[in-house]
Amino acid sequence: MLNSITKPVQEDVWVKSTCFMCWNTCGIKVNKVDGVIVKIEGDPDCPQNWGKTCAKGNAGHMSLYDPNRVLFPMRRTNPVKGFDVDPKWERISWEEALETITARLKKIRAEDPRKLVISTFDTRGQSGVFWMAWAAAFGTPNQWGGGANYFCGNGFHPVTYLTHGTWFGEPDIRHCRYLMLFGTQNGSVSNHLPMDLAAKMADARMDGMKLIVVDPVGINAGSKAHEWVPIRPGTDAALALAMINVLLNEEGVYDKEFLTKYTNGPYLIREDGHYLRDHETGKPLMWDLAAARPRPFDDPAFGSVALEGRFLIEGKQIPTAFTLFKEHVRQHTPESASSITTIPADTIRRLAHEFGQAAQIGSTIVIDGKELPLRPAAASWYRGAIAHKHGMLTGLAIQFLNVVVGAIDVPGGHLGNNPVSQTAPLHWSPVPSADGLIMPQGYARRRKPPYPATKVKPPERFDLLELCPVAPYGTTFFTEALLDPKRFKLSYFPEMLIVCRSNPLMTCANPDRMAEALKKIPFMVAFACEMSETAEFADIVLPDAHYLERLDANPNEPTEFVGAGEGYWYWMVRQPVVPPRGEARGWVEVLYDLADRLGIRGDAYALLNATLDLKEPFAYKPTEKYSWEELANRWMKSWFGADKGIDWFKKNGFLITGKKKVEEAYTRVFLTPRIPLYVEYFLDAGAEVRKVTEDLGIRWDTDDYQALVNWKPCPAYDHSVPGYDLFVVNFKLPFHSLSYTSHNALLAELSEKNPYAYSVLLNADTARKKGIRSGDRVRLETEEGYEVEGQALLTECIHPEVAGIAGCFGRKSKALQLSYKKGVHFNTLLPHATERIDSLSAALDSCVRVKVGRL
Amino acid sequence: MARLGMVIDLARCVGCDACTVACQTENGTPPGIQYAPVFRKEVGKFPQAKVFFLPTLCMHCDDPPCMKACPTSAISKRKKDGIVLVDQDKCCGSKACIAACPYGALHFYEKKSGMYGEKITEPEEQALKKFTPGTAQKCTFCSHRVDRGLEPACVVTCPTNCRIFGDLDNPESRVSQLLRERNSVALRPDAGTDPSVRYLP
Amino acid sequence: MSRPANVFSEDYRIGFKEQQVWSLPHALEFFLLGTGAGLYLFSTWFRPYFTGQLVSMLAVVAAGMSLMADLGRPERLWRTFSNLGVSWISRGALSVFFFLAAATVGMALRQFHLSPSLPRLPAIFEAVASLSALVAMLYPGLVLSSYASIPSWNSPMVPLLFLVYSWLTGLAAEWLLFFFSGTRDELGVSLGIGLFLLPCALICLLTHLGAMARGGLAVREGFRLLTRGSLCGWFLGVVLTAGLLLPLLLIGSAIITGEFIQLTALVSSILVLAGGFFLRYCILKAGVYPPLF
Ligand SMILES: Nc1nc2c(c(=O)[nH]1)N[C@H]1C(S)=C(S)[C@@H](COP(=O)(O)OP(=O)(O)OC[C@H]3O[C@@H](n4cnc5c(=O)[nH]c(N)nc54)[C@H](O)[C@@H]3O)O[C@H]1N2
Ligand SMILES: Nc1nc2c(c(=O)[nH]1)N[C@H]1C(S)=C(S)[C@@H](COP(=O)(O)OP(=O)(O)OC[C@H]3O[C@@H](n4cnc5c(=O)[nH]c(N)nc54)[C@H](O)[C@@H]3O)O[C@H]1N2
Ligand code: SF4
Ligand code: SF4
Ligand code: SF4
Ligand code: SF4
Ligand code: SF4
Ligand SMILES: [Mo]
Repeated sequence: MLNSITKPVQEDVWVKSTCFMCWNTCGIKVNKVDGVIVKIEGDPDCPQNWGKTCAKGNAGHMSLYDPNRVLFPMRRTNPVKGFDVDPKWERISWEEALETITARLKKIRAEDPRKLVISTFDTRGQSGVFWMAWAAAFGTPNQWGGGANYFCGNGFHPVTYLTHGTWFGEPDIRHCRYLMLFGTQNGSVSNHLPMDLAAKMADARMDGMKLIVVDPVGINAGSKAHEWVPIRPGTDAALALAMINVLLNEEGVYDKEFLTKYTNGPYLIREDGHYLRDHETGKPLMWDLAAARPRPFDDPAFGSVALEGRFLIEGKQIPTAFTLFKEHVRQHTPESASSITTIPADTIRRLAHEFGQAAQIGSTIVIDGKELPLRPAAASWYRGAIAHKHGMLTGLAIQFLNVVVGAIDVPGGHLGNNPVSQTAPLHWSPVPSADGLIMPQGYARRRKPPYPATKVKPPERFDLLELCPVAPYGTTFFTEALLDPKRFKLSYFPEMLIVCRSNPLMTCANPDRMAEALKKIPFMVAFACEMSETAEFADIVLPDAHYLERLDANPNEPTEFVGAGEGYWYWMVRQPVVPPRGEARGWVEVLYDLADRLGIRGDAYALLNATLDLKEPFAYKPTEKYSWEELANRWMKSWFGADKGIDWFKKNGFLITGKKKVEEAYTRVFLTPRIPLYVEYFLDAGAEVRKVTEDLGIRWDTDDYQALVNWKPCPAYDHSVPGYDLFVVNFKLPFHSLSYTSHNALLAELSEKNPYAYSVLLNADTARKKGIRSGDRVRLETEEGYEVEGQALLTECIHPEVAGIAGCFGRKSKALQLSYKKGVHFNTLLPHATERIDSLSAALDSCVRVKVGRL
Repeated sequence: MARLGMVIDLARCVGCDACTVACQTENGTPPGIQYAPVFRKEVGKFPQAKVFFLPTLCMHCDDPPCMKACPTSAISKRKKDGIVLVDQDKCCGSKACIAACPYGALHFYEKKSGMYGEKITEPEEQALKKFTPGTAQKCTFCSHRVDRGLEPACVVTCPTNCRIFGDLDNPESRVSQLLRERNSVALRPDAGTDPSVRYLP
Repeated sequence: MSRPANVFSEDYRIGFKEQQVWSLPHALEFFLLGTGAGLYLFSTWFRPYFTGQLVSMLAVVAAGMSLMADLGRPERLWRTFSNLGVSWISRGALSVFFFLAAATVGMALRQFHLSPSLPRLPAIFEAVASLSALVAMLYPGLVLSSYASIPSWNSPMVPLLFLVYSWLTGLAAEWLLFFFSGTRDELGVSLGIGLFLLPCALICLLTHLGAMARGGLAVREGFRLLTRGSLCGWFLGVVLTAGLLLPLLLIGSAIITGEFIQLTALVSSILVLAGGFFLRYCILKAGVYPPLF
């Protein structure tokens, strides 16, 4: 009836693009009717998600049309900054904003370009590559990942780099029959490639793959497991090492061939813990059983290599690395691990046994005519397990479970995301270091690999990355340095912060402390879509284009967003479906506008030509000023051919460049570089850090630089002031992403109705003993005196020693009416303290002890 | 003559709510109205405990009590495929159907409002044109898509492929096959509705 | 979002859901309708009584208006007759329509002596109106009992209860009218009928309650709401005690002693009417959907 009086539809089109509601990059098609986006669907042809989109992806356009969006440049007129302080915004023109910023930037660049800091999680694809080149051209090393590097992949990426030779990894669900998840929700629409993994895991579970979920919280991933193994937070390494101990020392189940060929297990180790090296070549030695003598690891004359044993060399009994490893894990008995993890010793033995049996050591499979080892057992881990003080060691311990059964980069095991590409236009493959260990190359080297260790020197960057030779990023230290620069002997202080797509006031640790840190930076420019907490602290706010309003070439970096194992190579595009609302502009385009004013465009182009390896005639000419679209166009044409310019991508959404060959899908047996089961280079790296920090008089923890992996208690494990008897942990919900989505109308509605979203989850028995019932208002308080309040929800699906808080709620910016003060803000409970940061991976320990009381 | 139906494989579902939201944007439903909510229930005792997810929608009952309750004959069952639809041009807003539906599949759309409050966004403006205030609304099995040969939005989006759509009367269809191969249950069998949505536990 | 569009999607937990679409306006409608129809029958057949008829019709009109006010699209009221084949609401609406039409004609004929040549004509219309009134007394109960969705409604006791209560509250309305304009004798007789109807209602109510106590899960949940939960004050206090037991006691003693007839009529009338209203309310609100799984 009402339809008949409305005018007929003029325009009804579908535009292909790439989602950006979480850090993944699903292919989408977007329906625009009469200029308005009305619907988002998965692109059924895109190999990343085959037409699937999660709740967030479906809801994406609602944040574009959010009536509270920032649409104009604004200047703060209230110099006082703080939560619930009205910044008294005053609308200004773009020109005025850019002129103000340029003046400041010019001054900074002349003085010391390091005084400019850029904080963003917008690190992938065209935007990512271009702002990084801009920053390099400007001359600042100060990139601050914000929440994104606080407790994200800290103890993951370095481990996948060391073991797979690439940035990311995932279990090979196609062939896996036994999957253990340690603190990650693979398959439950979290972590990376959530659409792909959700479908594959559902298939695999139906086909009988056994899923074991080790997690203090069982409401999402744990609920789909065959066995949910509730664990005390921060103790995953104890479990993994006990399982390894059972496999090596009780059951004798391990892949000798794999360990011999593909790890440094056979390397001979001196008394001081270093490799025994060949006098002439300096190469690490292995023992040749046939010749009864040591030889350099890559000596072609090797008879048979000794994996285990002690060998008399120059009057000393010299053990192999594997021997030491095997003896070392003996201390991790299931019994001792049981008292650490709260998992019964029998269960630990059984899990180890099942894992070892499931790995089917010795079995093979033929794929595309090539015979490959088949190891259908894998352990996967992410944020939950490694967001702890000793996160890197934990990551290694879990990955070593895969290593000892040979389940690395072979069918059924744990795979790296594309360490090798033999498909045009890009080729890369890891190479062996002088010591024979895996070193990523080419595309796979775009982020910071942990090996070889980077040079340790007095810190110049505010994230103190110089003191973190094996970490992927140092972000967590940034806040520490801002709060106390003298402590780290930094000779300058940031003058200006440009922040975009990062919300440190919500996603890092205690926001009041973070606010102190931010307030110390004299001038802050925020690009924003919504008026986030962080944007509210800015001196100038600039309206940024929403992801459905902007262009990004190649957002799906293949070492992260192309599934591991069999599948396709593909390259995507994110494109504007509608023009930016209000006066919004893509933030990196604005940076390049500033580059002209600063005279650094040419320098940035030169860097880009190198990074992207752009070929003539498409390389950027330093004298030219290309539009954002033309920059994408030249890049695409240079890589994919003159007929595959940006228009082609806009029309087709993505380009499939080929189907992966077996050598690309299951790389292990086609590669020679080895996996360090014995992390010898940590010893030197640690010594370096010790030396430099001692020289500077910086107190710095170097204990974790050890060659053999251990479990160590995190701060919350140790102290236990009476009354503070619960650990508090955080977990993601499938329908929310970080802080960003909490204000999206459709998703906020889900939070309102979902019993778990806005609540404090307490184990039913534990709560009853405390006299707390579902629905009661409770206060959680840490020893440091940080506290949050929320509504208790009693559940059977949580460890009795744990209080669970979902997502990133409890927003503090009044502009976000739908989420303002709704739910509980987990991060408020986390103290900023150097002692709580993993010195290897820079992860902030994300569990604390709390006292829970009824209000 | 067909009988369109859905089989929902509960073993696959991970409770991600993608279906709920996909349905909302596909149909542009007014704030607060969800045709396809996912319900949850805890089963078992720690540590043998888990959350059980139950995705729902209108069951497109073979014998729909909503239709029998409706005084205005606004609810009908399509002859060609069994889809149960509310004709909002006939509905007088009595809400009888809402009470009569055992599954909570009917919703009352009271008056125009926006998800973000007073200001109604452009997509909402477009979508709300399709809704008559003061009438009952419910899942249409995406009849507008089905009529174009497409599957429902909630089916297409589901990351675990646990919603399977097809003709229950056609023995060759996936849905029929699944119902033959695996045990299935209907919700609220006591209500005698003979629903066209079946669940594989 | 002024109110939940649907109770099921208000909270994603699987469990009992209390029906919410029908509440005070419907309780009022059912109450006025039943009372009006009951009063009409008393005023037409037991002691022809113009004021009673008039008030009964006004009550039914008020019931209709209460319903109208709850309709999403009141201008489409006429459409409610379009599903007579299956919908009890349709049938009910028709009965109300017939009732009002026939009762009006009947009353006009009788009051203004419009059909002197056909002396029985008013009675014929009254008979039609009375039959419609009977349907109107029954239909709310039949609507509820036809819903398999809510098992506590889905019982033949519900229409019976609504029928008995319609008689009872119709009678109580008569007491009130007689209090103002009737004779002591009329009152006495009318109260005497109460001594019969009150126990009938009590028996029906207890039977229904007993059945609920032994019913399925959702029915027992309804029973819990009535006897211990959120409705227990209204139900045990107002419906059972004030609405049935107390009037029974008062009327019993008034009739035995012959004292305070007027006052008893007034007080009992108010008590019974209140009980009658809250009975409808409690039955509606104790409607609980069983968990979906
Ligand atoms: N839906 C959704 N998907 C996302 C994101 C999102 O916000 N939402 N964010 C994306 C990003 S940036 C990232 S980094 C990934 C992260 O992906 P995941 O690492 O899978 O993150 P979570 O889903 O939080 O899973 C962590 C799990 O660890 C558990 N846990 C907490 N402490 C411990 C512990 O000490 N030991 C063990 N074993 N478990 C513990 C938590 O209860 C939780 O279930 O997800 C990405 N995908
Ligand atoms: N409680 C809790 N804390 C967490 C996590 C968690 O799961 N729970 N996860 C941790 C992890 S793994 C990560 S990676 C970090 C992530 O931490 P952040 O990088 O801070 O992530 P978001 O919270 O999504 O912040 C993104 C900000 O960008 C804004 N934004 C969104 N889209 C756009 C856009 O197009 N342009 C601009 N200019 N701004 C935009 C949003 O409004 C939001 O303020 O958080 C960490 N902290
Ligand atoms: S998983 Fe991430 S990228 Fe994919 S649809 Fe969901 S929000 Fe978008
Ligand atoms: S989209 Fe699929 S997996 Fe997600 S809740 Fe709905 S039915 Fe379950
Ligand atoms: S599920 Fe409810 S709304 Fe759907 S056909 Fe059945 S009774 Fe009607
Ligand atoms: S609300 Fe509308 S569709 Fe539902 S019963 Fe009443 S008239 Fe029929
Ligand atoms: S079939 Fe269509 S209308 Fe029904 S729940 Fe699914 S998406 Fe919504
Ligand atoms: Mo992350």
